[in-house]
Amino acid sequence: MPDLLNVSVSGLRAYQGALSTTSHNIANVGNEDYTRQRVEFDARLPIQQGPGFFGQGVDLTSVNRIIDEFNSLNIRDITSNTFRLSAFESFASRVETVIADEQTNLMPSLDGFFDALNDVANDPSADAPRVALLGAAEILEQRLSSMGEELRGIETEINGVVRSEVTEINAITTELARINETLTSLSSVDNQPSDLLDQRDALLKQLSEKISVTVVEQANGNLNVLVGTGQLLVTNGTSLNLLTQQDAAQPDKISIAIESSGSTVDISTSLVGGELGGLLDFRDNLLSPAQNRLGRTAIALSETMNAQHVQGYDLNGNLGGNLFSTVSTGHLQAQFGGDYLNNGFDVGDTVAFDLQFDGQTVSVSHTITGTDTNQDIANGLLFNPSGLGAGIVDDANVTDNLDGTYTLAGTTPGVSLTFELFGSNIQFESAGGPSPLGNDLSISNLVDGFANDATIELSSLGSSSTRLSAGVASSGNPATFIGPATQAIPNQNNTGVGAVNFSITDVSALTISDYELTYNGVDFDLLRLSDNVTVASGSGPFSVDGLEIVTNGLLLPADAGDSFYINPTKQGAVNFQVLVNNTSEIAAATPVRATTNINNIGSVEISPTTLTNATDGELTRTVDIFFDPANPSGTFDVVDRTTGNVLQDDVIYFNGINVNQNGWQVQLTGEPQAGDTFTVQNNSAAVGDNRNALLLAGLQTQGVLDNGNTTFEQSYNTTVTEVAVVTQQVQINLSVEESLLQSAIEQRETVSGVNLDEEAADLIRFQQAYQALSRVIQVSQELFDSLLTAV
Amino acid sequence: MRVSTSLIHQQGVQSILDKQAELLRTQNQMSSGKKILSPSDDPSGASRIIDLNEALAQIEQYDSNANYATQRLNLEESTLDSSLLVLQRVRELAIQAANTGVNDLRSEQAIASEIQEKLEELFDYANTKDENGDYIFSGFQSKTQAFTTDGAGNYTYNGDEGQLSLQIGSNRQVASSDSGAEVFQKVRQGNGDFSVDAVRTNAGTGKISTGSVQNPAAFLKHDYSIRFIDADNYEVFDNTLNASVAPSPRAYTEDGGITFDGIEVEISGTPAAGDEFTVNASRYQDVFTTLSDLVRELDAPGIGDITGSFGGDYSTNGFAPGDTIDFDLDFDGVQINLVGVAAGATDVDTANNITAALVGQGVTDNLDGTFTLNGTTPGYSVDFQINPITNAIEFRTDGGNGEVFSHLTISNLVDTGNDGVMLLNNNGSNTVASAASITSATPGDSAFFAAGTFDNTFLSQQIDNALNNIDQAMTSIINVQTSIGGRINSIDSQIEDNAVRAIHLQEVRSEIEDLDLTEAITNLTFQTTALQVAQQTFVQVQGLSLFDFI
Repeated sequence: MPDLLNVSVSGLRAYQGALSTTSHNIANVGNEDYTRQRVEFDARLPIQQGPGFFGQGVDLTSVNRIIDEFNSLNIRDITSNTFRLSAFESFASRVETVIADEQTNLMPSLDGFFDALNDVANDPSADAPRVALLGAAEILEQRLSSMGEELRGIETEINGVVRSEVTEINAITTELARINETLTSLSSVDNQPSDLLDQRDALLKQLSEKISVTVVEQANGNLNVLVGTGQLLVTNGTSLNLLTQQDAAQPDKISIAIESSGSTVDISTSLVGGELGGLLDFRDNLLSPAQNRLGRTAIALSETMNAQHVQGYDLNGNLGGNLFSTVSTGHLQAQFGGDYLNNGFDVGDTVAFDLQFDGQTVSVSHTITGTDTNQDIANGLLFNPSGLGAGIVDDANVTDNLDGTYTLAGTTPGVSLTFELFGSNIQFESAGGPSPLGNDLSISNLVDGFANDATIELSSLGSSSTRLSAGVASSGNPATFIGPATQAIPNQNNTGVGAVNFSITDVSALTISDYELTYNGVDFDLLRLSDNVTVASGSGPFSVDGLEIVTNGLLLPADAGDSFYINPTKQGAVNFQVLVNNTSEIAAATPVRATTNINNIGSVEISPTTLTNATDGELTRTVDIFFDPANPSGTFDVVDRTTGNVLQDDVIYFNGINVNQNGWQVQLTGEPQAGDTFTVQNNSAAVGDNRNALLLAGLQTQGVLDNGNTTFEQSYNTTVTEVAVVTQQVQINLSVEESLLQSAIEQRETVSGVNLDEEAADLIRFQQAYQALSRVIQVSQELFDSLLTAV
Repeated sequence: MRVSTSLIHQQGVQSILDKQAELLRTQNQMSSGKKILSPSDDPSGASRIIDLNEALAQIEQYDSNANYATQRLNLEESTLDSSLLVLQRVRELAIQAANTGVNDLRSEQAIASEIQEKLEELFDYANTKDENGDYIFSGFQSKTQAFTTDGAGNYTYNGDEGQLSLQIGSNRQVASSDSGAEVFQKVRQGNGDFSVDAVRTNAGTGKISTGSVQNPAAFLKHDYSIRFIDADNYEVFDNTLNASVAPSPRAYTEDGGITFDGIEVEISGTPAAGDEFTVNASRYQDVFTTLSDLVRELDAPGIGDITGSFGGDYSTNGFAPGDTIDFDLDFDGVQINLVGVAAGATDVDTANNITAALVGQGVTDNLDGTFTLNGTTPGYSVDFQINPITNAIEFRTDGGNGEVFSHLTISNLVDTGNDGVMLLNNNGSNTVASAASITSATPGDSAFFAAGTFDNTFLSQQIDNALNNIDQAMTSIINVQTSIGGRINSIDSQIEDNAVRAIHLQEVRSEIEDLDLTEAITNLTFQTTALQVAQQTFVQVQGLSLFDFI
């Protein structure tokens, strides 16, 4: 007879479990990562009794997770995309605000500057417009440098965000490894706890928010996680941490590495997707180009304005100086000297060498006596107390500051180098801002009478702004201290002691690209990074894209692979500064003027002067254009009035002829008469001359970049537009991805989400069954009772 | 399709969030009035707006420059107007001087003094300063006074030929000033090609006409002299080539045309032998020199003013130290009797004693080395001063007119020893001295100074020449004025162009940038409604649950 009780009890147990699962589902209705669970009932095997097979009740055989694994994969992928785009978009909008906000963008201050220039051109002798021009220049400087600083701030911020992302990623992968471990120890492949799997899925989703991952299921049910081009972050129960480090080529940037076979490998370029991928993408493809573009605009402004300003005369009758500078104001700071007596400085020897700095050469020599200590030798090199030989201070261009320091004036106005004795070393520091090639100090032509084996040690005093071309200077091997400003960044993995300087020689050919110079063991290859084209090869110097790149120092074949990073434009805006602060130094006038002699009989008119070469040393000499009656008819001479030298003899005149001399040009029109004279002379007291100011103001509408095709405004416009276009693209893509994500989530919810009404229905069903079975038990009891009472 | 409870909730919330975001965006657009809130909203539009803003800023600057230029040119134009008026008045005065008769020298001098005033007025105009204290006619040297004079009739231009150009359009500059050289200094003499003149020492009454260039191709721009060999014959001499111009000699006919090297001039009147006339290629002559020369000629001593000297070199002429000198001086009804003037140890002392004695007799000591004796005719006086070299007493009358008054008489010379000789000298002027000296040896001896015969031919020639030069100066100014007028016109038309362009650019910018308010309000209404619907449906749907019925 079938056992009513057993059957009922089996049912009770089964439905109890079912109810418990249903309540678990209901309890987790608010849990986003939860996949609903369903129970499986299986009827027990029947037993044959008498005429037929009688069922033995029901068993609850499994609790299943209702999930679509493909959908999970899909969600992870779309999540990576969405978070990548979202991180990109949020920073891109910030860059937009920095460079294009209506109140703070560059155009009002740039236009304001040119307006002020026009006002000076309208009234060159008045002080008020000049004061206003200096004010406008200050505003422009503030705008450009603060924009540059804000972008740099974003770069630094990105570094910080990347670090915290990597920390979080490492935390997640550690947790994933632990779950893998737990799963293998707790259960078998076929029957894994759903909630733990939910947790693992949730972690994977979190991870994909940060980075694109590939998930591979192992035979034992563990999941391995790979990133990039196949780097394993999680392998079964172990996880590998990502590391952050300073990028070897560009120290301002952070790069991400992983340890692999004992060394750290930079995997930044292969990481995509997720916030991390978005941040790196933003930094390299939107922020860096924007910084370079803005910097290039600033450099163009500075260089072209300067080039025109130095062609003019200021109120004091002097040629104009530089208006702006975009080179950083770091300076040389180092020492040379050392243990002379052990370095080939022998008693009785005369050691001599040259110091070269900014066009000046100082020749130093010292004879070593028997009692000289190292300190005495240093003293002798600097001060030459014995009067034999020559000390640094003996040079005509060195002045005594009366405080133990001595200053050498460079050929560039305002640039100088100050020396001081420090033990047996001579320390020095430069001032006045660097000239184009970083105001290097070279020690060369080192000779000594005995054995020619003297060496001088060099030390940069730990100053990061000064690099050395060699550790020592020795005979036939000069050594250079290299100033900071326009130095290429040596890769941190370099083994050699070479150094590379660059300067900008032609703004209109300048690109927004960065460059990499690599030493291949024999010579150099110069790679332009924007389009990956090798633009030059050889031993240098290289003249390309408006840059002059000079290699100095020694690289040995063993140093093959050494590379140097050149980013000519990145710091342009940050470093932009105004150099003129005196209204009388604004050069509005032209250095020369043309005049007609009052005794002329002919009808020839002379045009105002224009300059063909402002640097001509003879520019302002008084020159007469004289139709000498002794000349053949219709010819004139060009004569230097002071010396009487005939500079151009018997030039044939025709109406409209241009006369060029000493860097200026004039045009003569009309009919001359023998004896007529015209003079070109120094434009003194010409406070009302605005010709140079007009030319300066005219630069607003001239093509100054891209070989004369782009104005300042256009280059700034492109900067804004490039950011805007990319941002718009990202925004569009983001909204697409967001709706894709929405669909995928809907899909997941359809399959795995808990529906309260459904659960409610199930509750009723199981409860009814439970109640029914209870009644069955009660019936079986009554049957038994009736049996008992019958007996 | 199966939906989960959380999906229902999430979609409802998302819908509300989306609609809120849209609403916020519309609100931002409306409060800023712009469609484009950030460049990524419309990159190509944003780019165009940057270009348009730049173009508009430039136009604004050009307008400002143009207004500045107009102001400067207006100031210059009004200064030139005033200058022209001055020159017109001078012209009238010069003609008046030519007509009212050179016999009335007092009027000539009155005219001269008015022209001098006009000259000073013109000089001030040439040195006009603008509101910033810059000289407008100094070229580029705007803090340097344009013209200066040394007081002796020499004028110097201290500026240069620069013109201040201002940018009024992207490819247009306009000169907002003209140099003093251009306006006042580079004025051609005579008829513009050549100028004519008579030599001052000509004895005859010949006058040369202005002339003109009849054959430009033959005109050499040389300097010539027309010399009269005698009253009937002359030759034309090219001073530049140092050779005579064929034919030579030529016969003189009054008012007959004299032609050579493309030039034609006429000579009228009766030249004397040795008379010379010049025909020189026109140089530049500034207008101040022209006026100053005219003043000098009109003011020159002639009828009415006499100059000369008496005395001098006393010790070599019989006035030994210790002698006493008596003489009488008569002038315009005033008689001065000097008695007992001591001859001093040196000639200087003697001269001082004479002047002291004159002062004692009513001659005024002006305390500057000059002494003035007023005649009985009002306004008529004579000034004395001692010549530092010869120690003679020089005199010059002032204010006189006609022969009646222009006499200074020295008489009744007596000295100790009766051997003194009083030298009398007209110093090369037009004044006639009736004798070269008087001696005390001849008691009662007297001599007088009188106005010489005055030939108005030379003055008349100078006035004619001056008129030509004044006309040239006026033409020069008028030319500059015309140029200024043209420039002001072109500035005005540029300003108009700029305005039209600016309006057009503003329209384009507005289309791209500005919000269509009607559309925005419609959107706002629609989005507000949509949000409300989303919120209400959310509440309704959320309330449905099977658990309510269990």
